[in-house]
Amino acid sequence: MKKVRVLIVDGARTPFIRAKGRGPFLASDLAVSAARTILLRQKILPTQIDEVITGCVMPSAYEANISRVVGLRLGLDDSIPAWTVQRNCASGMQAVVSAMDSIQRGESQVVLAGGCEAMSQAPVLFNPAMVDWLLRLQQQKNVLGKLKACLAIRPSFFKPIFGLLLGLSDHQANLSMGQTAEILAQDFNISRQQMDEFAVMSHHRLALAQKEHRLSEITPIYDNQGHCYDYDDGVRLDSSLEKLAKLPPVFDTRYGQVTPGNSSQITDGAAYLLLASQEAVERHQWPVLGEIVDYSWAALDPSRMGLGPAHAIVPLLTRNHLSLNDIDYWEINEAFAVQVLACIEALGSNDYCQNKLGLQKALGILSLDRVNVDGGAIACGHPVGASGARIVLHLLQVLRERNAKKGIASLCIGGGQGGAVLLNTWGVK
Amino acid sequence: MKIETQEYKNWSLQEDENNILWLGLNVANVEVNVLSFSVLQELEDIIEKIKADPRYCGIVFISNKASDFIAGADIKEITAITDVNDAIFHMRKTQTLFSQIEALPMPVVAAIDGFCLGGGTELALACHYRLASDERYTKIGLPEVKIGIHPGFGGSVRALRLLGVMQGMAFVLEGRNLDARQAKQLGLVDDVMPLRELRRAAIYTIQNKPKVKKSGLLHQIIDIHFVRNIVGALFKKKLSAKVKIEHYPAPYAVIDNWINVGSLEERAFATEAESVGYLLSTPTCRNLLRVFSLEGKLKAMGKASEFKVRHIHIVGAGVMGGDIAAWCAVHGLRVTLQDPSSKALGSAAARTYELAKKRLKQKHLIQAAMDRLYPDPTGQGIAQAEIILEAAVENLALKQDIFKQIEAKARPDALFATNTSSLPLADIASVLTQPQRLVGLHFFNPVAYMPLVEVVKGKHNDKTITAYAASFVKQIKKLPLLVEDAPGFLVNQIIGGYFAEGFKALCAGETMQDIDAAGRRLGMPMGPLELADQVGLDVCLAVSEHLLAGVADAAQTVLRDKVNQGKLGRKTQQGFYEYAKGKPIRVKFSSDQQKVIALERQLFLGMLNRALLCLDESIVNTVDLVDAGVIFGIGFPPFQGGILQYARTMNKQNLVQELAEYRQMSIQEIEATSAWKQLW
Repeated sequence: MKKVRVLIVDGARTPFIRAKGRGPFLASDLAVSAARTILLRQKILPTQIDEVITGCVMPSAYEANISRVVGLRLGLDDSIPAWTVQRNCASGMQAVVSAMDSIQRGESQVVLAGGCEAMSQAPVLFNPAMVDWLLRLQQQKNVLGKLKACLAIRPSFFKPIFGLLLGLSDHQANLSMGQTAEILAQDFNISRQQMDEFAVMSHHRLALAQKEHRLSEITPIYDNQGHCYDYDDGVRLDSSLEKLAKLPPVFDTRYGQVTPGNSSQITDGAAYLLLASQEAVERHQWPVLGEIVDYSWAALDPSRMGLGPAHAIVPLLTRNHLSLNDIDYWEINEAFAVQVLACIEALGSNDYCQNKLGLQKALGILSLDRVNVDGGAIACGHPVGASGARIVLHLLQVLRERNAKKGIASLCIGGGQGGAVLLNTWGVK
Repeated sequence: MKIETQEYKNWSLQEDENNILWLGLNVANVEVNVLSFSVLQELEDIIEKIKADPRYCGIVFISNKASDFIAGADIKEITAITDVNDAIFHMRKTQTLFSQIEALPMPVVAAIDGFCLGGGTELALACHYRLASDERYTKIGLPEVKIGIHPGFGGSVRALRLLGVMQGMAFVLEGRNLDARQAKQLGLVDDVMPLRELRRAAIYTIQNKPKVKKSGLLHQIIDIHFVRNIVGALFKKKLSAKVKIEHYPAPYAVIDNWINVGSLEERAFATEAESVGYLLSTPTCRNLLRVFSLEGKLKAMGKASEFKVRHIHIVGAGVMGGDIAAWCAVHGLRVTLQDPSSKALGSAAARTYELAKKRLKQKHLIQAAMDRLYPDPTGQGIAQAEIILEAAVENLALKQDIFKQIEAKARPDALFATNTSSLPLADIASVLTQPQRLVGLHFFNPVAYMPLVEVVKGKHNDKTITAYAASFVKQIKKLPLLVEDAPGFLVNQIIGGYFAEGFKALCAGETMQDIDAAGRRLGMPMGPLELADQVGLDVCLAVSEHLLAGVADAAQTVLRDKVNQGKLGRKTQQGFYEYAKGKPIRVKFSSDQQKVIALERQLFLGMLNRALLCLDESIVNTVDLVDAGVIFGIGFPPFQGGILQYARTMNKQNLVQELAEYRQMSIQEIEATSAWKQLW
């Protein structure tokens, strides 16, 4: 049976807003702002969507099944189902491919899919000793008991636990994400200088894209005090090697090489796409951004999670009878500069390709000229749930702008996985 | 003896398995429940029968209408009572009925869902228990003072007994309608619950008879005669800061009644009834009743069609556009707000948030309102909106350009509206392929506080379109007034007279303070120069050509000076007055009373002259509509019943003479105008 073609009609995202203290938006605020732009632009009626799928890693306690929250807040009809997916850093990408599956199975014709994350809103938790103390206090029935329980408090109970740090760690491997990046630097012999050079490039590329107004997928967002956020404010126009060289390592804090400057930034943001079957697109006479052709997931040693893209890209290319050079442009999410560089090294290494990726020889050399041409998460940030949807959306923009045909968007996933999506703009309107 | 429901037109009686009698009110042939003569007559009969056979273990008053409990007495019937003694008789009769209800041996519960106002609240106060649903539409209050009277069915006495003097007095004097939670906090209702629990709560209350709140010792002390004199004087002092006794005698009467007889004794009821009987005959009350009926007339204008708007697109996020957007979003519409400036859009979002916080209070409702407001810099919303409102700056070419673009993108059935206040509708419409789609919707500043919206009908419009526009205005809970397309329409034309006289006096060397004092003396919420600051001096200057005829040159000189200095009024903290934190800095000033009185007359004549001209030019067709316009659009003092109603109370001969001098015409010429004939 011939598979249904799944087309991407439109997409929009909020600017990615760098966390400076607790931000003004909840994850669903960001999601609503991004998604409603699409609904408005394409004149979507509240009943014309069949499903809403959202990726989000850490929705707030007020946002259980955040996708449903978003659907309702968008004013979509009550009868439209919504579900949330969580695949850590790839949650937004998982939402997009789940939408594709749903359309190909015939379950849905039109799906709103994307991701959102308000990392600045990550909860700060009481530590377990404090929780025990509170519970004991509540259980006491009389004043004396309460007083006694009260006195059992110790200063150490007040030490808070930052949910964000917990989320950015691999508790099985007992490593922070940054430490897995340090391991890749070691494995592939990548220097601090190389990482910093990559980071500077990311900033400069994003700055140029901003200057040339090539980020038309961004929709401005307003907070309740009336401030307008209309660009990725993590970008540093003045980024330079000298400045980055001064930053201390933050994961292996004494002798490490991974710094805030060559890692992705903590940001808040959301990105959504409208996916539809070809039939629905023709029926509604919608425009088309591109086609989502195929996707692939892979898993590997969690302590080298940054190589996830390499592991996901290989089967995707093989299955579709494509070589490295058939792909015009790439988005490889920049969790860490070293991790993107390591992926390129791995794909170009006979040794790694033979031993770890099951190939006869190296896949080939992936030129940085075709990777993240408008910068990446080091410059604009990595709101974990949203990034997967952002790179799919932006890659489509890149392909269209440069009259190219095929692209792959890929990212590494904390816990040791990788995901990749094959996009095509050839032969679609 | 079983009471037969069939005997009654308005009440349905049902005894349940708990021996509780449910008295359901569903007043025949009207939309909302009111305590009309026939409703009360039937209730009297029902209570007689209950007294004769007190076998029920409880009585519950409940409404069988969808969204109101009892909205008050029947205003039409009350208005029709012209004799003081008839009025007193009616009050006493109803008081007796309510006292009988209060004296019933079994628990009596008012189960309130929806509007419970005036007489409805008085009935509820006579019940032993009051329960209220927490639905948003539930409102409980005694708004009688707003129509120039006070409660007359024992409400002003029982409110004090229940709430204590301090809180009870505030409740009666302010005439504010409370939501269920506020009512619970005040102690006005015993419990609040979701509607789904209301009936079960009533049964529980009857079966468990929770303790009834009694007024405390403090109340008993304050209610002692000599204490009443002191506390009463304080009440009056506080009240006088808000309203003058000559303008609003009713709240003063409430205080006086209490000072005279207190609230604890039985004779308090007789005093209340006599006082209301007297107040009903005062001109203030008659004028306020007239305002009430004028409001009804405007509301009726909005009922002429079934047009419903889900989505409004607004072009221009300035003061007016942004505030209209905020108002619409808070009132349930999806709003796409178009403006190239992100600063303007941000400011509109912030104002929407403030308005939503104030009006909607609950977090999820505020969030929903914000989600309905779409900042839309590129005008994507045009293609989907049912109504598109332009609120850009007053520039004909610009507005024409905007409408050309709108027409190209809009739905074929979308209605177009402009918020212009000075440009002729026909000129703007001239660029459209279908000019009949464009009407004027003239909102007033500040949008959240001015209830009126002028629906401007051009020569190119037919009735359907203006009916649609009026329905939209009603949908967003404003009052539509249909006016003809003429410079300044109705309201700005008349307010222009007020401004013109103010500027004229200023140019003639009068002080700002005297001029504004004169405006306030007339009963206007602001003097002409304060108002100009509020509107914005740049806006005044822009419309001066049309609206300040006769004084345009001199006034323009004054205004242009201010505008050139960047003093644009309240919005720039400087205009005629200086402002600190949004409030004018007032300089102590002793004004010459004679001068102020003369200025007041001048301001009044300026407005009256314009009002009559509007009537002559058929911008609206009746005296009533002119008065509705000035009351709801300008804030002309409601107790005067409107500018023309006020004029009617004056000496006809003197007035025609003054007007003749003002217009430099002969008395005969004035008397020959159709407006003058309609006035008398």
